Amino acid sequence: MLCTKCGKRPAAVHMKQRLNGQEIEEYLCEECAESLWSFGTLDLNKLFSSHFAAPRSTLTCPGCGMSLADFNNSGRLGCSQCYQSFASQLLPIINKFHGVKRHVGKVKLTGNSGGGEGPAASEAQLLQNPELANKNYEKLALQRQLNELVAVEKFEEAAAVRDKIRALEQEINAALTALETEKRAGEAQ
Amino acid sequence: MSRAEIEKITNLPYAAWVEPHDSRQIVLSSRLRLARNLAGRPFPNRLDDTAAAALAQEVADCLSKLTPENDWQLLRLDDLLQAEKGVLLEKHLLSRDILQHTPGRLLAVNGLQSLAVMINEEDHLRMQVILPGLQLAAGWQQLSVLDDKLALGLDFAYDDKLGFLTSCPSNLGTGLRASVMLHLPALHLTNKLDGIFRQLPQVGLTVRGVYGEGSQSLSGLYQISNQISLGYSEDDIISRLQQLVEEIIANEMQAREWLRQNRLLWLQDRVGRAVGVLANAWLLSSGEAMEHISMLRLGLAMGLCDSIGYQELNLMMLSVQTPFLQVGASKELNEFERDQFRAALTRRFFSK
Repeated sequence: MLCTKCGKRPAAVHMKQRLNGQEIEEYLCEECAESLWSFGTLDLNKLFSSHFAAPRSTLTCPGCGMSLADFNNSGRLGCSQCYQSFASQLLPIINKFHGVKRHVGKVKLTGNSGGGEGPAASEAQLLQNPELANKNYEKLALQRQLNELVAVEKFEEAAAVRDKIRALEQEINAALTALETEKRAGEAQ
Repeated sequence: MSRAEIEKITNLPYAAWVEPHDSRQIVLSSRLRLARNLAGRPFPNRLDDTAAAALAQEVADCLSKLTPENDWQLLRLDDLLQAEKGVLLEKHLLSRDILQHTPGRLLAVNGLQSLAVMINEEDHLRMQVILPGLQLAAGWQQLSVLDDKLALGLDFAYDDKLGFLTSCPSNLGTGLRASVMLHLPALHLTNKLDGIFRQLPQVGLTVRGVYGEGSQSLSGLYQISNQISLGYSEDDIISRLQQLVEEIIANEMQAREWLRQNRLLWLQDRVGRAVGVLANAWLLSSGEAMEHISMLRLGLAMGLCDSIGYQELNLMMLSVQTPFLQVGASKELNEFERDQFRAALTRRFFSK
């Protein structure tokens, strides 16, 4: 006897169910029977999709053609551009899950970065301080150099340049933090 | 890749677990994974099989070109037998998700099986490192180096505010998920786990039982990992997890001491019975096996038993899992045969 659900594999499990006073009998193959028991873990993706109002919106992402309705169903985005295409719908959800935060940690040093709000927050501060402005200028130059090296596949040299950029970035960040603390101390007095 | 080469990877025991590293034997392994995607390319769920295969090849080429020192073995998931998929799943080298649809999906594993890259899972790249014991910082170091090297050849999707862009918004930011596998039998026996686990979400961590549901894991094994990946640096995420895990270890040690002081005879009895079953049973279900192995592990750690070593016990824990039994038997086994094979296997560990 074949499985009454898929009609492909031989039936191995006999299922009897009483639904609304009606008895349903099914003969299922192992795979179809297994799929009935696949509950028990929460689908966290629903956390993201279910926040949308009714998927009446016809908004689609020009990058991959995914619609908001698609995202509603799967909880997965179609490409990196979706984050811009659906920004106003996504941000509240992201903030709800992660808290209202900005990325910290490793940053991308080569190529174009995705198109958020542009340069890091404290550029204005950097430019006010001549020493820091120099360092920042040096960093930008190195970044261009890094992109060029990567383009011609000189990876070892590129890695060395990248490490220099990292070091500079750390110096700049440390200096900025110091300035910030000084400023706060000044304000407190 | 030939079947013999595939078997080289599936037959090897899971190095990261089998090697005892933590002197207290509470932490089995540390695992970290990074999610990355290529900029301007649809995520795997929007790629057709041909495009997925092409992208996977591109990533694979980059892996061998930029990090030749890792001696990558590449597996096409389409080539794997059902039991082999199961083995790689048990070894945490593959996820259930990627097995849903295998065309155009690749797995790259380094020689030691400590580094693995799933290509075209939910994201284009899921790189992971697994080390025995509590080694989060060392693991992150290795993973970050791999990421840095790949970033030179691959243009990763990134946004200044959202960090690394991922198919599911839950992985945004660092794209880092760090997790630690712990053996907590004494906290389980003293009914203290629920309380501890209830506190985890408050610090952005989450827990899941290994081989079982919630705090009822028969194996006494639990995986604790960070939930939130955006807004904290990798070092913050790791040090927070590390701190909490050490706190949990301290609690487990206290629970063991309490058992020693107050329930020693009962505990000795449980450990002795566990040895009895594992050494003499002829039919052994997976749940029963895991329960006894867990008790034996506790007995070993508390000096209540010396009939087996950690390395053998870790190996036993892994090899009683169904996929390993099937690969060992070179055929699909029904439930009755599995129980028979499993018992034969555990008996062998004690017959010397």
